[in-house]
Amino acid sequence: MTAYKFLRSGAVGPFSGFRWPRPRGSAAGPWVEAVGAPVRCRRGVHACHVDHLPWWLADELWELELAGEVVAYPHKLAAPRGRLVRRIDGWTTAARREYVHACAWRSRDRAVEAADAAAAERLAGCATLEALEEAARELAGTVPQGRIALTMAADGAQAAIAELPAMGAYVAARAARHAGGEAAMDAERRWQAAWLVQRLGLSAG
Amino acid sequence: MDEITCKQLVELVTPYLEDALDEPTLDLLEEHLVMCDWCVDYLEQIRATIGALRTMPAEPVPARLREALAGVLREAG
Repeated sequence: MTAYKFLRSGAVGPFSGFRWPRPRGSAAGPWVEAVGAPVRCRRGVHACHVDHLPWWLADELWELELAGEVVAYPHKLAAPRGRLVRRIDGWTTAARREYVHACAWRSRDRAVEAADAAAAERLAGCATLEALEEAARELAGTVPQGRIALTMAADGAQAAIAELPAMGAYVAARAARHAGGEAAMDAERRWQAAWLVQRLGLSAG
Repeated sequence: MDEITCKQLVELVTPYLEDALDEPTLDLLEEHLVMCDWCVDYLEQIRATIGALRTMPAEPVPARLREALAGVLREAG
C-alpha cells in the first residue's frame, strides 16, 4: 500500500536514526525489512496515512510502499517491509512556512471568537504575525476574557515566526480543542491533513 | 493521558533511553519530540552526558562508602 513518511534531512529516520536507502532515478529504493513482526514505535517500518501526517512533520516528506500486514495505530501505521518510492518535492521551506502561517492565523481566529469585542477587533486587524504575537501576548496579560485563547494565538504566531510547523499545528489543534472540545480538535487535525493533501498533491487513499 | 508535557518528558527521559516505556507512552513522547525543539535539545544533552560518562575511567569505591552502602542494603533486606 502507499503511505508517507517524514524524515530528517538526508532521509534519516527521526527517532531510529536509520538512513533510508533512497530511490535511484525513477525506480523505488530497495526494500527495508524489519526482523520479526512490527511492534508499535519499536520494530517495523513506521509510516503515515495522510490523516496522520500533521503529528509527524519534519524536513523531508517521502512516499513509501508498504508490504506485508500493515497495522494501523491512532497516529501511525507499522508494517514489516517498506521502501521509499519518491520524495514529495512540494514539501519545501516555502510550503512549510505557508503551512505554519495558515495554522497561526487559524489560532488567531479562535482567539477572535473567544475575546471581547475590543480585543477581537485588534486581533482581527493584525496584518503580520509579529503584530499578532505582540497584540495577543499583551491582551492575554490584560484582558480576562479569552485569556487562554489569546495566549494560544500568541504561541501560534511565535511558532510561525520561528518556522516550526509541527509546533504551529499542535497549537492550532489545542486552540481548537479549547474552543470546541475533542471534536473541534479532530476537525482541526483533519483540516491540517487536507491542507497537505491538497497543497502537495498526496494520495488520500 | 493524551499528551506529554515538557515537564513530564524530563521525568521520562531515563526510561526512554533505556527502552523501558510502554508503547502508548512512547508514542506520546515521540509526538512531543516532533514539535518541541527544546526537549530534543534536552534529550541530546542527556545522551551526550551519558556518552561522556562512559568514557571516564572507573574510580574505586572508598571503603567507608562501600560499608555504608552494604549496611543500607542489609537493612533493606
